[in-house]
Amino acid sequence: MSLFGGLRPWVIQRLSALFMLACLVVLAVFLAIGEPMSFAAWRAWMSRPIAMVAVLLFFTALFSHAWIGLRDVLLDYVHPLPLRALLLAAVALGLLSLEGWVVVILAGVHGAGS
Amino acid sequence: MRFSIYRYDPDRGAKPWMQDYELESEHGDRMLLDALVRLKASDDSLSFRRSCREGVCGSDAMNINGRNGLACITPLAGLKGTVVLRPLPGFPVIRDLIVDMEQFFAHYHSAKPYLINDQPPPARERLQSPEQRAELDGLWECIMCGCCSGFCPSYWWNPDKFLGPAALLQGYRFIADSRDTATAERLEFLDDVYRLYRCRSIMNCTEVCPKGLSPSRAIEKIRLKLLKHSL
Amino acid sequence: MRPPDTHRPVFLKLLKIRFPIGAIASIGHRISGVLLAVALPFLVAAFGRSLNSEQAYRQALAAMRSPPGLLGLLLLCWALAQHLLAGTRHLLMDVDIGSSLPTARKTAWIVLAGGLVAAAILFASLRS
Repeated sequence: MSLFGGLRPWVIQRLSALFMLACLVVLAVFLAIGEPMSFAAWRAWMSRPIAMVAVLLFFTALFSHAWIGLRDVLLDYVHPLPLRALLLAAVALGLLSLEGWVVVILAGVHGAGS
Repeated sequence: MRFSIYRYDPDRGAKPWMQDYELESEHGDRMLLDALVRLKASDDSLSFRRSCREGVCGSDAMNINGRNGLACITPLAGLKGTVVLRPLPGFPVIRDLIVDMEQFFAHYHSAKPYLINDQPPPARERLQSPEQRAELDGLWECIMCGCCSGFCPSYWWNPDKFLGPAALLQGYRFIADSRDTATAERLEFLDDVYRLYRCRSIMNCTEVCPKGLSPSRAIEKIRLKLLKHSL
Repeated sequence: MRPPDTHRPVFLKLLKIRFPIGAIASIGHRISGVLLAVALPFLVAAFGRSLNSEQAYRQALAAMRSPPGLLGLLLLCWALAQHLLAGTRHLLMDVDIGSSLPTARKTAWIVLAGGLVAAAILFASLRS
């Protein structure tokens, strides 16, 4: 049994890419037709539950996609096993922390009230 | 004609070096192999593999002016300037342009490149429709020359764990064969982060295949089969 | 019999190898991906700061307009555009669109050129 698997990460990488493409298309349309937001409007928009869920999903897709990509780079180029294991763990930890940070940020916006 | 050829002598133990040669073109010179044979006549120490001289045995694969190809079907007229010859990239060099193909063939062997069908054989052939037979076109013609795997960066970085385009193409040749019954096992073997999934469709393999095959497309089809198989 | 510890050399001088256009597009995809990944902490930090206070929001925008900020922004715009276009090319090849060699070469050129053009457009529109 292998740790990293073959088909599943490949599928996750493709699905997360498609999801992010869709989000970016929506964002591009939004930026093109809308006015630059004021701070108050930005914060108000971000505290809506649907925005928070969408942003959390986007970041989750982003960090999953980044994990698989970075894992591929490390598996390709780093050959000494201890170094590879260390770098993979560091990247995984880093991405998990970023996900946690996003949750904290979103919770902060929500907690302060809309 | 001027040549710059990679030389390595394991008995001398020194590092590889590039040796320059000059050759007067003769009437019979058409392919690079013709020139190499004449160069060897004047310098017998120059070593390279060759056999059929018509592009079907795959012996004389090498890096020609930066791209992999077969010396016997590379026209001299198409080679510009000083012809620079090097061994297949990424393969251990035994001597001059002769490389160690052991790992390459081990990967081929691991893909079980033979028909697996335990059902009792029929009185004559195991029949295939013309459409089923057509599925094998672009796959059976591989001559295992190594040009593809020798041009694949993913194979360069992990030649021991990544199977490489040649073995993967042969793996697909049997997955695609309607007479083979081991598809599930073949797919399971390939479903591995190293064996198959080091490939990221760089497509260097397809660029240099001297038989015009497309290992990248075969690999893509394995991925789709794996996906369908899992759903 | 050769001695077991004989070292065999390997030819891998990348500068001596003539890479096809698809290989250039592929390494561009990888480099842009790594750049984007490196920028992730900064992205999350900027996201957080932009929601903190009016002052932080303005500071973030001002930082973006400074010379090093603009350079970073340009690089990121290129990385994003390049990675998106190359990634889309890969997604299409996954479903057998453009996987034949002549088409793949053309799309590789389109991706590389398009990456630069899209980066310029993206950068110009973000600056304003």
